[in-house]
Amino acid sequence: MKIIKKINHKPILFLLLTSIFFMSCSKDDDIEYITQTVTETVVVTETQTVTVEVPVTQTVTVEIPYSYEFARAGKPTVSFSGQTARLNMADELYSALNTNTFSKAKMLEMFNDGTGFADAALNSSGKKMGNKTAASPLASATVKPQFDAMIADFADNVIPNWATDASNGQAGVLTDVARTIHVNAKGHEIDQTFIKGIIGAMTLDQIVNNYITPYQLDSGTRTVDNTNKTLSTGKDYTDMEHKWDEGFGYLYGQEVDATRLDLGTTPTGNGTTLNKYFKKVNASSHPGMAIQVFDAFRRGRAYIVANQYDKRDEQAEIIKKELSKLIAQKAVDYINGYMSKIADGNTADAFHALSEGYGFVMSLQFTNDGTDTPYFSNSEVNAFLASMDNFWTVENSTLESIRDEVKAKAGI
Amino acid sequence: MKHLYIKIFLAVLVIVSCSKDSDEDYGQNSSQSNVQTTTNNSTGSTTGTSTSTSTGNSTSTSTGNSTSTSSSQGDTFDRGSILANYSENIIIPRYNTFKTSMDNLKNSIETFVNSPNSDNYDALQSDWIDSYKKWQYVEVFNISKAEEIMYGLKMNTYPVSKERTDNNIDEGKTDLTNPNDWSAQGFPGLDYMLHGIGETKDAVIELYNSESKYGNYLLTLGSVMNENTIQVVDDWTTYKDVFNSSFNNTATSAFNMMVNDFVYYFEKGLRTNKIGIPAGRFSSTPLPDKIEAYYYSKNSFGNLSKTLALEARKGAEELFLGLNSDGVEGPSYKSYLDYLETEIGTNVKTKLEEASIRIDDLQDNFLTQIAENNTLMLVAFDALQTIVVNLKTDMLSNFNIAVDYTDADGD
Repeated sequence: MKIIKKINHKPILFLLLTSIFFMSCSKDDDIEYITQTVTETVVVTETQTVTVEVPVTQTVTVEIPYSYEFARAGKPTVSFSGQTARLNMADELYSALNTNTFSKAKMLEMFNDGTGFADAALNSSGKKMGNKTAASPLASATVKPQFDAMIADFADNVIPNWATDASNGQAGVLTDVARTIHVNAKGHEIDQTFIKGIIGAMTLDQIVNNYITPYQLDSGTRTVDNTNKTLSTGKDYTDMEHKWDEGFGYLYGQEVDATRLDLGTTPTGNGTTLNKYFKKVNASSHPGMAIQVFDAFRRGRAYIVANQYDKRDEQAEIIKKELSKLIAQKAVDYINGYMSKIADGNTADAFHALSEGYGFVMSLQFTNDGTDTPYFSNSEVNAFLASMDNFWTVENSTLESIRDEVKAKAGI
Repeated sequence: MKHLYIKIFLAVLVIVSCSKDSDEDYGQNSSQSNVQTTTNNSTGSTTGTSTSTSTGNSTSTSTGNSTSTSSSQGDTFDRGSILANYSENIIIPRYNTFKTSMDNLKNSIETFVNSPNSDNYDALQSDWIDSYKKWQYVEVFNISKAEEIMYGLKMNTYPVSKERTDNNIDEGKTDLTNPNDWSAQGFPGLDYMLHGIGETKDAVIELYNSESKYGNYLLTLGSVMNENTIQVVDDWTTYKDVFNSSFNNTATSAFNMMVNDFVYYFEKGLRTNKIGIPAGRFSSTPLPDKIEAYYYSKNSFGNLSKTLALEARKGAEELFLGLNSDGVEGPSYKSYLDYLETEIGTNVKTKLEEASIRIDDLQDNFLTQIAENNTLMLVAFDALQTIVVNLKTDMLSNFNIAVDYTDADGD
């Protein structure tokens, strides 16, 4: 610092030289790369009788593949089977919450123990949804029991009243021209509140508040290990690479081929959680969101390989902001959907939409505006949920006020 | 003499774009032109164009004398002043206070075993409570001799293993150095010996009167705890100078280890063990039998879990703020954060006060609190967790210190 201050008094020759080369070539392997060579200038000071500052250039090469494919010594380094397992579990549990054939114990087992699924591979995966629900360092520990309570409410109150007519205070069945749903005493269709809540509490929270944050990526010796390319025991990846991939997996884990070149532009929407709405929002209110998020995952991963951690975090910030916007958009959409449906007199269809909205409102506390701050805190979300709790009596003005607050906060 | 300064900023951006000629999916790509922005427009049309924008002009960042780049810290704060304040005004005084209490506890054990009667039982129980509370102020210092002999784990591993302890009682075991015996000694071991071997005070005293094996094992626990304490306290007379002067930013410096010990203790010793595990934060359902001082509550002798959690929080707060026993602030993690002109220190201070309120909201009896309204336990957990994030990521990154332990996250 002192040296730089002195410089201001002396004659300085300033030379700026920028060269840009474009080259293109064909490759015949499966991975496409953009190679960016960034040359950095470091000024080294040697002090004698004369001070001379000698520029030294450092070159950092970042190879960014077009697809989400990374390899080391010819072996793929991307793995997210644990995320795929949990997303498949969510699908099965969602189905279970839409029938009257599962016991409470069975559904709680599926959620908390990761067993009891029709897909035997899930039962032996060792993965569980429950321990990844509202489990990030930023999540409130009070949320996970809310999901247990939904399952219990469904089993204790909705299933026994499967054929009872639902009304205010009475769980049961609700039918209109559009659909038939089974609701609890407050009109909640629990498969919807549950799965839309899980989108925030598990998939979003695990990505934006856990795996792509320094809390996970830089924990313990992971930064040093990644810089030195010290691999995880028995694996072809570093811990940091793997953590990033696990974040990727919570969004893309049910893609049949997550290495395809057009994954960024055309997510399949497979499954019942985040990817489903990622596709929808990309195709409607936020065109281009999908490619932005995909590119950020792809580049962030390449920057990890190249030890460029600040650039990695820039990409993480994009992912946090975009996926959070998705949650806000769906909360708004379903509240609007409810109001037009209830105006048409379709109570079942309206309650179905509001159940989805309720789950997405619940998910708002897991958003991340890019500064590791949610749009709304746990207590703010709980206040929203309390105000809209009874679908039979909730006023449109209450929902409009929630909707407008969400729009304002998310800037949508 | 003329000084010549030449600064050259050289930015070279080379973009090599390689197109793919796999025949399976995108066969026509192989004949693409060599203009970077159009190379992959038939594949993922959006991927190729924008990749170069973020990198080219971030060049001249790493200026500086190349000899000093790997040195300890990026600021000029006197880290040694924190160590001196901690050791002289906090650590050693706390240990001395604890040792006095430990001496009393050992004496009470001997008196009770010699004459297992109601008065001696009450005196012993009272000393157990007093020293268990004071223990909360020293468990965090897992450094030097304490770390070497696993002092913290020997003094306060809970839940106590009933099976292991019963077995040790029957065997008359006196060597408790095996790690499997950590859950059969220390304060939780005493809890079981005073409140767990029988369900009432009379029943417990009766056991000591009828069978000497109980008294023998109680004496063993007292003497093992006391010997370990003496080792650790004595060590500080010589370790203090080493500690005070070991403030370089290396993985093994006292400064780095101490700050890691503090964060680790706050996360595991306080947040996880006292609140998180019993409240079921890490399991599918609450695990009330894992509270600290479990048998004391279970068999309705009294309740101590909340008191211990409050004491531990207070101890952490005083350490963070650098308070001596008279409540006067000295150099501390807080003052270092303030020096770095970040709000983190102030935020943590506020959150520590909030956490005190949230813990105080709980019933004295954690077993009934968990059974009746576990949400309040989870709210208390949240109040501590938000501090963990500040300490573990924000504070340590401001200090430019790496976390020396890793979270197992189950994947």
